[in-house]
Amino acid sequence: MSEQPMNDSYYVAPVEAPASRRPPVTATGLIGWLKENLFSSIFDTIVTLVTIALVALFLWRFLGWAMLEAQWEVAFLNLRELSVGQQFPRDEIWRITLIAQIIVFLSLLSVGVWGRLTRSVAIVILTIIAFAFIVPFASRTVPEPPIYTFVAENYSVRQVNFIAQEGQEITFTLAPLTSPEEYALADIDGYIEDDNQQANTSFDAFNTVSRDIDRELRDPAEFDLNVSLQVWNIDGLVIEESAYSSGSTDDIVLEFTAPYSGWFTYTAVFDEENPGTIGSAWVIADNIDVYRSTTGAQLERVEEYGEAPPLDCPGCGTATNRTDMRFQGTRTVAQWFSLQLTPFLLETRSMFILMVIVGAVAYAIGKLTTMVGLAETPALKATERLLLIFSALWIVGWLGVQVANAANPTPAMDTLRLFIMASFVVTLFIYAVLQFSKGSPQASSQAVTLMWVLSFPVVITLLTGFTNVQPDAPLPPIQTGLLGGMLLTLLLSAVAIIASFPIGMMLAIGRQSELPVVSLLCTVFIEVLRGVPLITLLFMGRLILPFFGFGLGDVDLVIRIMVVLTLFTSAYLAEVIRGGLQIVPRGQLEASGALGLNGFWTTVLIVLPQALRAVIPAIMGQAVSLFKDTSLVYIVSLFEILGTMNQILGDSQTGYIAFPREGYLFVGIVYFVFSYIMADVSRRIERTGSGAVRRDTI
Amino acid sequence: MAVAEDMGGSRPPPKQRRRIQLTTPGIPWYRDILVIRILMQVAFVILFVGGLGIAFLSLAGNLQESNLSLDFNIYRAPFTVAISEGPSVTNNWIWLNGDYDTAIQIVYTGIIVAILGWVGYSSYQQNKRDELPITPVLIGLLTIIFVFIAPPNEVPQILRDHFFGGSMLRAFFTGIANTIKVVVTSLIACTILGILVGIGLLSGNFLVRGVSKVFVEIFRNTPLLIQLLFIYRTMTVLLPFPRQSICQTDGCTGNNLIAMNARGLWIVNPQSTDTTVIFFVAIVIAIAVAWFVRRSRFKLQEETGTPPKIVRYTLPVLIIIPLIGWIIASVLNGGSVFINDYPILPESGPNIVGGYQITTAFFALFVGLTLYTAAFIAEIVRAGIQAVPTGQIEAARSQGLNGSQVLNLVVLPQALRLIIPPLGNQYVNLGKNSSLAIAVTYFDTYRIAQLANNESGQAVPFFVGLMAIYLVLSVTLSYLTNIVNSATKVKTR
Amino acid sequence: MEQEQVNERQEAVIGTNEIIQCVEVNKWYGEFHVLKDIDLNVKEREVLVIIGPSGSGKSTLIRCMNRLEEHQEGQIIIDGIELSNDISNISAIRREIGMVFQSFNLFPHLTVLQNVTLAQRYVRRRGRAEAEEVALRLLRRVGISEQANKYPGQLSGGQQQRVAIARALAMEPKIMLFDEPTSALDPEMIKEVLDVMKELARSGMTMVVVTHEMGFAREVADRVIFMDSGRIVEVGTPEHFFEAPSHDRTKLFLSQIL
Repeated sequence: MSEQPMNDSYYVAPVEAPASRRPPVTATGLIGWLKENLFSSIFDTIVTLVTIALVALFLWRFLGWAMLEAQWEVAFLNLRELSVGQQFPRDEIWRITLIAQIIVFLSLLSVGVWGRLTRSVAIVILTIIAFAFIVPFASRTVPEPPIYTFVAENYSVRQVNFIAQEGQEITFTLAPLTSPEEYALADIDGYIEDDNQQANTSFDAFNTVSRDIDRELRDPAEFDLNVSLQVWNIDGLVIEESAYSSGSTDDIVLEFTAPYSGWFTYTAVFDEENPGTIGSAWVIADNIDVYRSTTGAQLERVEEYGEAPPLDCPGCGTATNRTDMRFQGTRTVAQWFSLQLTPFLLETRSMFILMVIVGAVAYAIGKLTTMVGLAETPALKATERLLLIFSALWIVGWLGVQVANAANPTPAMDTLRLFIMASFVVTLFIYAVLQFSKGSPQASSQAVTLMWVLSFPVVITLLTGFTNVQPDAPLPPIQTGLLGGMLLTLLLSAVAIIASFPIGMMLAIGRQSELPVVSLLCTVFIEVLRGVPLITLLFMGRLILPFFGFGLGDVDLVIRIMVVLTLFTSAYLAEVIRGGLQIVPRGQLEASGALGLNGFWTTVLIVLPQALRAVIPAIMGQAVSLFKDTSLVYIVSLFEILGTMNQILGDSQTGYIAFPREGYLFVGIVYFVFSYIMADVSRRIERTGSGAVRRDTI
Repeated sequence: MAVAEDMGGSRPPPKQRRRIQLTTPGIPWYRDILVIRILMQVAFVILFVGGLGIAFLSLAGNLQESNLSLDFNIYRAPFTVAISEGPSVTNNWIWLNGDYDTAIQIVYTGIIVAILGWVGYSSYQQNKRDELPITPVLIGLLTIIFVFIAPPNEVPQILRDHFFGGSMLRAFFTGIANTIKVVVTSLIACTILGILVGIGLLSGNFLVRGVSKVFVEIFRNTPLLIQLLFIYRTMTVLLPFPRQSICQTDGCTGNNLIAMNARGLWIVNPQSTDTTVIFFVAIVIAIAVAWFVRRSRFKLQEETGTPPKIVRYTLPVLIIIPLIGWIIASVLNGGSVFINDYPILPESGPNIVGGYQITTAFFALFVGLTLYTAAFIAEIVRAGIQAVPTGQIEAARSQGLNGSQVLNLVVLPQALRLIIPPLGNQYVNLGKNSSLAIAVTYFDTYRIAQLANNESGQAVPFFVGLMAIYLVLSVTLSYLTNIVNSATKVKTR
Repeated sequence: MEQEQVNERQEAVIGTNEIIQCVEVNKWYGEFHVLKDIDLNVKEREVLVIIGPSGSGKSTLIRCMNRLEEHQEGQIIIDGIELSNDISNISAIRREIGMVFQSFNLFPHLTVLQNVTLAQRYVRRRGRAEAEEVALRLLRRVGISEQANKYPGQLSGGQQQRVAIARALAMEPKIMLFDEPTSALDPEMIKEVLDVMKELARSGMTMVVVTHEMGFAREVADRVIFMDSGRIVEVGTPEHFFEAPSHDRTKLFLSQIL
């Protein structure tokens, strides 16, 4: 450096460049990040601290409520209803499951062929699976909360059915209530029977007595009841019995060891001759397993142990369903996991894992087709052609059978149709597989598209079934009126977005038309539909559409609402697509015109492909918006997921009416998950630029 | 080698171009583009109008079969459901008395003349711009037809027939008032909240950014209906029954400034006295003076470059003049400008009386609409500000403007142009979404229409009314946005 | 190849048949007079170059020739067919005329091969195999057959413009219109496009070229037209035009650009 001549006007850099240095510690790493993002100035620091305080307060309050107080049973015990609706026939649920698997399979296949999954998705899925196994396993160690039933002189004693495993030890305690403090519910951490279905529950009886004590109509210290605890076997025979209380206020404890696995009943009985005149007591059952019961778990239980024992005193029957029990007191976090989350996980786990497996297989197939491939041989080509001819034949056959069936419905027709349907699907499926085996991206792409198209008739057939001409025909019909829950939500969204696509496209082209009348009428149609709220149109769908004729009076409300949603969406989609049409440069039209393509071909071959590709993210956005809007159909009494939740909350036979927050929050979370995933996918598409012109394919 | 002799030679286009040409002479009609275009449009109109006509005829026939009608006189039927919110349905409007007939006729005639005047003026303007004045002429024709149906001398009687206390139309009137009330309040609130969150989304502070982002994602990705139900039902579950109201006096029997229970929130309602008007006049004067001060300050800045310092000069004016008005008014009236109407829970009685009630339904709807729309507005604000190129900010900084000057003078004016059009869309959406009031039992237009339908079973007239009302609401909201939009455009050029 | 070109050059003798006739053509954009009394004839196998300052109406004129713009007065007759509101005439004329644009206007969602075959299949109604064969032949002629399966976005500007020329040629037009084909190109790509155009001119195609490439005009044009303010100011052979322009306006223009 020193040998370089240095003066004001001339400088030459030294031969050896100085070594790169690390930036100062405060500029990088955790401290640097914190400094830049949280504490860059005094004001910023104050803002950060205030925000931390507010967020912490909110989370503390919210999580505290959600885990210790909220009764998520309203959602977790009604998952089946929330997914397919309350009236959906149970025996046909497998069809919906199958449809879900088909869609998962095709989606992941498409992802495999056209794109790739990020590592974060895999991590999320694996975490969920791990969680779904660890939580139920760990929660076995959490003790069951006790059950409190009430005994009083004028209150007939409950009989509670329960299941015990062979050798299981259960403690029953009869604890007399002898002071005003003991009438405070605050001390209780367990379940009290509080079933709205019955006029007179433990909880009601307890309330009556404690009110009398409050008003000093009654002295809590008085107790002369003569009660004993009994455990019955399934035939109603006493197999274990404690001593009678004989007016003593000491606790009576009955230790019971189950002699076999199965149903038992416990109860408290008064001495018939000398029942006593006054006093009240809790019967507390510890470590008893009747509560982890989703609907599915109950059915399984009946399958495993047989029907629950009959209850022999009229009016005192107490079902073993958890919905009859109300948790009193504060749960521990561990209890939240074991009592609320575990039933949810057990109910959904197997379905989720099945989906993950199906998805993984599909993804692997999709990836594989892009890597390996067979050579195209004449034999392969001939087979392909043969398969196509066959599928054409199946279509003709299908139409023939349809006509014959309309003329003369016989049971054989259903079987025949099912057969043709299956053959058609299998034929084209083989065709698709052959396409895949070629290993070329175009062939795979086409095959995926073909399989999506193919899934349409399959899904629709599974959903609607065949007209019933024989009682036990395969795939009996499901009336659209029976659909509900998430199934209806997704169905309405899918039908509306798919059916509105061609209409919206035509409206968009019409609005862009050079012919003023066409443009004006399309504009009026679009703007009127966009200017009114969706529920006014739903109002029309429910009350006015039946009078329009064209057979609309005879069709089900679900179909009419689908029509309305389709029209509504088409107006919005038209505007989205018009946005796409507008960004196709004029030069494209000129070039197409100069080549001699007429208006129709210019639109179909040049304008639409470019316009639609550009608006894929916007269309996805529209789909999200429609998906959210389907929640409005509950106002015209269709029971999609929100409507079903309202049914559950409004059911006078359960105590759920007290838990609207949990119910709506759960439905909101479901909506959020779906919308967020859709919105995220659309954002990804937008970012990768597939929405614009393809640049790096091939 | 050919050379043109002279340059220029522009002449106006041939005049016959302005005449509407229907065919091109010398070409068979089936190959003439002009003819083909007209034929296609005619075919389209026939298809469209024919389809509508068939649907309408079929509708009318089917309705008749079911003993329903398309008769709009149903709006004159009495409405019997009690409406607990908004302007009273049952009281009779004084100005419908016979005493005011002449006044009504004069006002009505005035409105008609004003509309026709506007029609004439804008037709003239459009004609001058070589446009066909289709809209004004249509409106003019409709107005004239309307005058035939309702000539001025019959208008008072027509109004009496329709707007008597307890009529369906009065119920709709109340519904519209309630809709406007909730739309206007949430529109203001959601704009403020949306801008705040939008700025939060761009904050350099990681936490603020994160919280804003979570807010936006949660409220954008869940249906408004669920949010409304959640808010409403949470309030009804958590708030006490009326007899256990929460308020500042013990047992609520005293003069409360504020009281609350599951039915709503009550706040003290100041009633005007004889001298209150003095106070209001003082406020108006204060605003006028402040405006003049502001203008002169700006003028001074233009001339001498003195910083305007608007707040320093106008704030005292805005405080002192109303204060003087207040003092004068209270002295004249013996110590009080307003008489307070306090919410009180009577010893016996179902609920709080007195004060101004904000019903739970209104509050839930207001909060729900505000949060939902604010989430969308925040996204719009963020996108608008981010769309201003960084070069603009760098250029402004290089000119020596400081942070807030860069924001106010360079970034915001440019961002506003991008923000206002989608913002208008959100306002229209807000107007339409207000119809979800039915989920929280708020008496808005849609709920009134449904109640009216339940009473009479005549769905069609009410449906048509609903469509018309909401279309007018949407068009008004987007028209107002357009005005703001063109105003900002002129300002920013 | 060499031999072929020689033959083609020999064939390229200007015919006597007037394939484009413009008679008293006038056009207005609103009140603005764009084309003023244009009288112009183009003979078969003639290469006509139109030059002039921007806004002089050159592009409008050739866009009128295949009805991308509508003229309001006068007649344009292409190969004996008059351009009018008659739709069958318009489609017939567009089949006769190929056009190359300043901004290429290739269809970005289609591959190069699909770009060239599209109109053949939907307008000329050729089978896929035949259309592809024609397309590959033409792509080879413009020197980019190896790019056939790429998308336009993956090509350089010069390559794109050559594809556009091939696309126009695929319709086997009698006339080719070039609307400033090299204006949007980087300098090093202009030559490859001009070479293709020169080759095309030698092969005897009737060409109307709007360009600022004076070298090209001088070398290839049979006639040069200078337009200004919507009028034809000067018409002549390239030698005469560039060496001894008559009109003051032409002199001024040439002095500014040369």
